[in-house]
Amino acid sequence: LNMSQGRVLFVDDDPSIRRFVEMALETMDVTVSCCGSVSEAIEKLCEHGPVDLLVTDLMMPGDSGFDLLQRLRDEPALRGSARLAVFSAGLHGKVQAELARYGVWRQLSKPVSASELEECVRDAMAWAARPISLAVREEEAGPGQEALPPLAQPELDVVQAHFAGDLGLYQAFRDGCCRQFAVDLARGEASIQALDFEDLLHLAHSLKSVLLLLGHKELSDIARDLESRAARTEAVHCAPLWQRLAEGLARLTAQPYVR
Amino acid sequence: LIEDSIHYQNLVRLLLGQQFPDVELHVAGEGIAGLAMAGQLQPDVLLVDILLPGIDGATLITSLRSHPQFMNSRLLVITSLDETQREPYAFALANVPVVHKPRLVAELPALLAQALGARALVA
Repeated sequence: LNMSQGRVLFVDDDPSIRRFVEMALETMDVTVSCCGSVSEAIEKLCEHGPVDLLVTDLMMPGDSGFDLLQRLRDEPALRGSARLAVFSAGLHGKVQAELARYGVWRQLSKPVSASELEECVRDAMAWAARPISLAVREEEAGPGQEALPPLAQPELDVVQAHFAGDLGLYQAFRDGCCRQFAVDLARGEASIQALDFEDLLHLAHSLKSVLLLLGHKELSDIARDLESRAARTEAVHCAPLWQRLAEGLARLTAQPYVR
Repeated sequence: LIEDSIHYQNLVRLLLGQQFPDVELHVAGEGIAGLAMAGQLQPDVLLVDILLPGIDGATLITSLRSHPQFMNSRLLVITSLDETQREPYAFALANVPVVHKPRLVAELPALLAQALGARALVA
């Protein structure tokens, strides 16, 4: 057992899925343990200590994934600093909200592709090995193994500067922003049409700070200009600034963060 | 949470879900609804943005402080205004912890834990 390697624990009662997970993560520089039941997983955690990432199915014979999450909440020593992920079929609104309350960091819907699994593990390891830097990531991939595809450095900088190094939180926030930008676009369009400077001002104020948080300084600057023009009800300046901002938002909405 | 930006509502919700899963979060999108909701819920902690549609956060805070029913609510202000831009609101912000939005993830959890802890002592 290589102690410097990240440790991943998978829990699923289906042996073919355990086999798939083992194969999918074979080339990654992590130690993967697969368990067929919650009791087996708890035994492993008791014996070897907490892992960096724990991924569990929800519906299993005997104890369910929820029972495991509850146990980890009751016994923080078992969880340690593990990121918690769930992979399951039928993840809908109510279940998703329930999982969020258990502190589940990522929810993967079955069927899960190998690349989704890899991404989940990679992100969890990036989080565990704070601070994240490209140099460290390249060293971590041992000889004879391909380096993991790195995140873009500006994105990593943003995660460090504004999200306390928490990649999962950043991604969840960013995904929500991309959805909300579509709503913002419609709202800004309506405000411009109606010359509703008050609403435009609030929208621009919010976007200025959100875009900066996400690392889009140029778009944030446009939003800032728009905010001050809207405050002075300068319609002739607001329209072209909104146009540029809207184009930027549309890009982010249509193509969220290609790496 | 009284905050008009859906983006920041989301961020606070994510952060609380992750680090304070037992805390019940209620959200108002503007000042007047926020004031009404705060009166109804009498929350342990109020997170308030300064620039809000309807009634601004500074006026809201002043109003809250003048009502004895909010004596047991701890206040935390979150804002994207920097220190210079906050000056006009200084009258309302005295002795209130302020979180600058770019530092929200880094600073809010500790301040919130503190506010919730202080409440536990009172109770």
